[in-house]
Amino acid sequence: MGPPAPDVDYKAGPHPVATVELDEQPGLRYTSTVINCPTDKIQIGMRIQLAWIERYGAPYPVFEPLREA
Amino acid sequence: MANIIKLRNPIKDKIAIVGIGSTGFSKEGNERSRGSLAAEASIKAIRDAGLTAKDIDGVVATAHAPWWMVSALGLPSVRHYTSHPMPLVLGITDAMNAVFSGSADHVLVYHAVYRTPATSRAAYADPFRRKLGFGGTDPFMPERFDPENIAGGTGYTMWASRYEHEYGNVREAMAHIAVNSRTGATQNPLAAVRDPMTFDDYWKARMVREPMSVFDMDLPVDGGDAFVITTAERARDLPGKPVYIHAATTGIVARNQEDMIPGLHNHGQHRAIETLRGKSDIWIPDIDVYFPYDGFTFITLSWIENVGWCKPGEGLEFLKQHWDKEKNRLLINGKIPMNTHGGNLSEGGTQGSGHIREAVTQLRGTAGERQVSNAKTAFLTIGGMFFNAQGLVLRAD
Repeated sequence: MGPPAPDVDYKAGPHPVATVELDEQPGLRYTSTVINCPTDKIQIGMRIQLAWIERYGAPYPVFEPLREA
Repeated sequence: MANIIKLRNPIKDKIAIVGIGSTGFSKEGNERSRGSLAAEASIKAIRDAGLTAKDIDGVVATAHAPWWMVSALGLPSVRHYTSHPMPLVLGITDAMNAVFSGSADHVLVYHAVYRTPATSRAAYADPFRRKLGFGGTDPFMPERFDPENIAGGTGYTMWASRYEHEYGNVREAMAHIAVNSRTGATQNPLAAVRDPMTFDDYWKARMVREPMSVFDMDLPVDGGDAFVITTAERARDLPGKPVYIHAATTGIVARNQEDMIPGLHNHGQHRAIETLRGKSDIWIPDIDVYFPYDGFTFITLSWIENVGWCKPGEGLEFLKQHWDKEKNRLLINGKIPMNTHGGNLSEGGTQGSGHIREAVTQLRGTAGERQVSNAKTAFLTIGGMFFNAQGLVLRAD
């Protein structure tokens, strides 16, 4: 219950946090958030891709659902 | 566990806990400093052991520095002083080894907890606490704070979600653990919250981080616990009933951070249990009282399964099968209670010191209305799943 965190909309419901394993190296994991996806649609095992947002005036890596090529 | 690998344990039963002290715990009010709480618990523990300041030649600390305590208590002859991270089995193990090796003869171990902005709204509103870090130490605000950090509670949220994904019914299992702890606290004068809790109360609790509600997370409290440790031989000359350290261990895997452990079936708890099994002559179900860590209810569920009370994924079935409806608590095989003091969830979040102090109290036979009849052995599985899993087996004559 500390100070508000950046990029969290406290009125929008839960802020998703996801640990992602990279195809390039099994066991290598990265924890961030998932954007462009309703929170209740985020599932273990879903395919995602890297995306970037601006935070503290710098790029910050996040994930979004995979867009099929 | 199919294969037991016996391990050396030359220290078995040779070191004893001979003093305990506690301030009791509160989740509101309190205008005292964390240091004064640690000092009060320490003074009580030294007196409880029948010793004085000049006898204490070892000081093992967690957050409040050992040199601060040496100065605060005016300890004139300290020759071993160390600090450790939490939970407290790290400190107990260090004190045990220090006494066994001859580094010191009478070691004080203490741990104080303090509400901070990260866990308490009231602490955030208090200007004297606003900048405190976890446990009351470093400045809380790093230069950069991203909400996607999964240290602490968020990490357990994610692994609880993983359990739900693999087995389902995780909240129903966690409900039993929360209710059991509260039932213990109703009989513990040191506990911060003593009102009984029903399953209905649990299901109505405010959700904090799905699937964990406010009742799945330990209580931020102020307070302190302390212990005095010496040799079993020396313990016989002291006034209290000694409690012997039968086996102690800590457990860790190579990749141990919150998002890096290999999975639910291979983490620190598995290593701690293997080692404890190899060192201890005492094992479940032949114990009198069980103390699994409950900083988060999911940790307790994980310990219950990993110790081997039941198979992975069968925690809920186990909890239901051994649930005493009339007493509103777990009573394994009709006789072994769990977290009789209320645990981190209801006595207060003490990072293991409460479990250890209550185990000693039970083995001394001084637990009052919550006393487990003729308790001789206590089994403790302390800490979480990542870099902080620990085990302790205590016994009394």
